[in-house]
Amino acid sequence: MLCDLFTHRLKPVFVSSKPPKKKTKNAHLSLSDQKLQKITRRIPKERKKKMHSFGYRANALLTFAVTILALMCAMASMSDNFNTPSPTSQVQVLNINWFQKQPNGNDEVSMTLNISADLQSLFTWNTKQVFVFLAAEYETPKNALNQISLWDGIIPSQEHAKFWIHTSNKYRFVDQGSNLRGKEFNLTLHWHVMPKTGKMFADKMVMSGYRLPQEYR
Amino acid sequence: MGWFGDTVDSIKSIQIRHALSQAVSLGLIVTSALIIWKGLMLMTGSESPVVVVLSESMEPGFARGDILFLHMSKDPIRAGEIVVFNVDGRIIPIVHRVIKVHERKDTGEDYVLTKGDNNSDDDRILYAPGQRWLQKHHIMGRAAGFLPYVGWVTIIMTEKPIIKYIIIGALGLLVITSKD
Repeated sequence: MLCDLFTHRLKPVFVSSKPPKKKTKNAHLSLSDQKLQKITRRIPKERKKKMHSFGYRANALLTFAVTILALMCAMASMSDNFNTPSPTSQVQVLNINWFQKQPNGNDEVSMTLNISADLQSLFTWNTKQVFVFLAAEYETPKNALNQISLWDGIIPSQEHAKFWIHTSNKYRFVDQGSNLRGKEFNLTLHWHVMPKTGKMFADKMVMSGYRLPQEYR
Repeated sequence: MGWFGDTVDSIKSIQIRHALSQAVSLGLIVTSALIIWKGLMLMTGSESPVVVVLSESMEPGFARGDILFLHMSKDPIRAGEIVVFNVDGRIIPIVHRVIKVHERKDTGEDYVLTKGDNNSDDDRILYAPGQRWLQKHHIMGRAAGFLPYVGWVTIIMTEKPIIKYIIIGALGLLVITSKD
């Protein structure tokens, strides 16, 4: 085996007794050819250099990388469409802490809320965070729609998407005017899904309504 | 010396036809960029369809250097949407989330209050003195999608103008000296 390897390796070296003579540069060309080449050398050489220059290669690589990256971002964003979320939630108004008319004539109410929700199904691999908020929505004689955010939160990951919170309203519940006595409003849970890249989407869930008391307290 | 000499040579050897074709291709690049921008404006209905986030007020949703694609439609603005708005007396627009909406019955006008997710207070302190609500004419668009990090290019260019000039110069030289 070893012997075989040896002979194999040595064979080509001893094929000819004389090593082939190194060709002198352009020896195969006639004089006129040489002249011609001298004249035309400048252009083809430059062309050749440009085709495989560093800049050319860097440009091609960069273009390719950016295209692939853009394609991957688009595909990640598209993949969110395959997720059909089914969140659940429950909200209760536990107490009206106080209810009064501000000096400028606007009604303001403070309340204690109990919010529980399971938003785990909103998360996909392209989800950076889910922004969730609870809004009071109602109609008044002057306004077709009033939306007032009462509480909001940022859910950074799926592990935190099943929660239960007992809180008073985070933002002031102030009406434009004095229409809140005996007013019935809807509590709506909204969520905005922020992707790692691509399209954002939002949805909501209308929850139980609540009627405010007839008198200030 | 070799590269520099070659460059000088190639600038010297520009023929008129070549220069013309280069001018045309340069014009093509510029106009196609303009067409894309104006086309985006038409498609989204917003006067600036792409904006770069400059502040940390929407962390961790949007970080500095992220790009937002804006969308502006006839639909009324609703709570929870992220809007880009201009306040009188401020040059730079702000990207924040809507937390309160009051829509008038007679005119259909929206009165909107915004707040940054990362700020503890609402935006009344950022508005013009005495202004309590944003209205339709303040709002440039609402955010529809986003792309992380890409905006750093513009942030670096506006904060370090010298880099911008170097890049423009290099590109210009490349266009002049390129053979094809």
